[in-house]
Amino acid sequence: MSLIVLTGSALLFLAGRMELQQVKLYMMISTVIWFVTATIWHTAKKS
Amino acid sequence: MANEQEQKHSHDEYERQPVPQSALLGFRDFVGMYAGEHCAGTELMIGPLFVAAGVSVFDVIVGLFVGNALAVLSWMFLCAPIAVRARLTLYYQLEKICGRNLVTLYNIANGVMFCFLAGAMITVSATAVGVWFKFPMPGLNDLYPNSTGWVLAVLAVGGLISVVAAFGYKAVARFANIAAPWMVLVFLTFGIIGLKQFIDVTGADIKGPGDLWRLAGEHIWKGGAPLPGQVKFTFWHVTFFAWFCNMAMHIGMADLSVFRFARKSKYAIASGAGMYVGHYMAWICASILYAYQLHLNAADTDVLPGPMAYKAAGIAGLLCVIIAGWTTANPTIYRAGLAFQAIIPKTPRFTVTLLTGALATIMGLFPAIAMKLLGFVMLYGMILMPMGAVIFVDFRLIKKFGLQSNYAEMSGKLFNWAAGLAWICTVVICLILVKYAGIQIFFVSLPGWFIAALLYITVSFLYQKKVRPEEEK
Repeated sequence: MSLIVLTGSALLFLAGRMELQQVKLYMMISTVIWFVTATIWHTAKKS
Repeated sequence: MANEQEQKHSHDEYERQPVPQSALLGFRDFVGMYAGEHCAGTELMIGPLFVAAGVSVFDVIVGLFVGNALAVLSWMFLCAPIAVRARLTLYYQLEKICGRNLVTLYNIANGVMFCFLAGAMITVSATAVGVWFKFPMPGLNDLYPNSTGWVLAVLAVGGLISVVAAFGYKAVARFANIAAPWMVLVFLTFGIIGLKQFIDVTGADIKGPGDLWRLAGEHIWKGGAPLPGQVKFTFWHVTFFAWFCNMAMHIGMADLSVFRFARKSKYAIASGAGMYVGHYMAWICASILYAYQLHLNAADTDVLPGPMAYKAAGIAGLLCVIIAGWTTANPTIYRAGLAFQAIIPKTPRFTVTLLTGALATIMGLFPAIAMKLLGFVMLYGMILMPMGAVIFVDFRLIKKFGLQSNYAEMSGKLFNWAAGLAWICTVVICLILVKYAGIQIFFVSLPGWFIAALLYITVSFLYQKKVRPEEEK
């Protein structure tokens, strides 16, 4: 989901539906969410 | 031949024995491996350097497509078939052909080249630090460090990468697996955002692919003269660069060590995941960012991934630069450390990795490597390519000439002079062709491969005792 938000915000910018500052904010938030959730998932998968 | 310790270790990584059937991997394993590995910090340099080299839209879009296809075909038809039949590492295969002493020389060359490459990746990551601390960073034609801030940033970044590579290679490798899908998409967003910025600043009205092509040709990849100090790139430069930038891996046979785990040689098509994600999409997207920077200010020719990524995608972009540089410098330093450890086997791997990282960090101080990355990558491939020709000839052709394959193993020699001379003479001949015959380094490895093959066969005739083919007996 976070990766979809990451790419989707850039696509919305391309479509003229979002400002660049908003895109940067959404990208930062989705980056944090991705690394937290992916790390938890990988750790759970390993154990 | 292998002592007990080696045999115990070899059961884990099959360093000195063929990979058994039980350890073979599926197709998807290779797709993930290649896609992650080829979206690296250096893509953020190479894409912009294409723009600096004055490429046109056709050169980039079609040239990269063709060149990457040639790379995939090289993996599929040169490297992988030998890998799945022999199922040995590159180093062990070379040892059988060339002898341990010649392989040691090869390891030194490989290790040094890896250090240079890791240095370039450290440089890329250090440009991200510059965004926060705002120290002067090197320009496009700078060869030496240009500020104390730059030196400190490289030392800090390189030092951290080296320590982590020495202590926790596996942890970083796991982190790289987590980061890979995110990194690929951040690269894509660079291109999407850059494209939108171009549309806005030029007022272009995009109704279809034709309008997009026109925008790209008029404003992004405009062709024409390169920036001062840069080599002019044509379609053929782009094609050959894309083909040969991983020459050491496919034609040079380094990926024997990878595809020895493949069930079938056609799995090598998985290399396309790396080529078309990293060497097509990522290069194109990174070049759009630089082209936009030049569009806004033609005098701002600095190729600095950190500031470019930050302007496009904020903190996420900056993190991408740091992580992309770090996650690929880490295995590169580790591999260089392994290569050097073959020379000093009694030194602990931790120490060797740390020293290798230190060497890479020193190299990273000099922006020359990163700024001249296009030429350096070609030089790297050219130096290692001849051994790939030796392996190919030894595996496929040499018996047809009545000669022995794996001659070093058969004869007990530690240095196969036929292979050694083929390697050294090919490199020297290629350098002469570049310096005096007007063949640019981007192209010289193509004739170089044939020169190496011919030299190996010719010198082997003089060097080996002839073994008559079965049908003549």
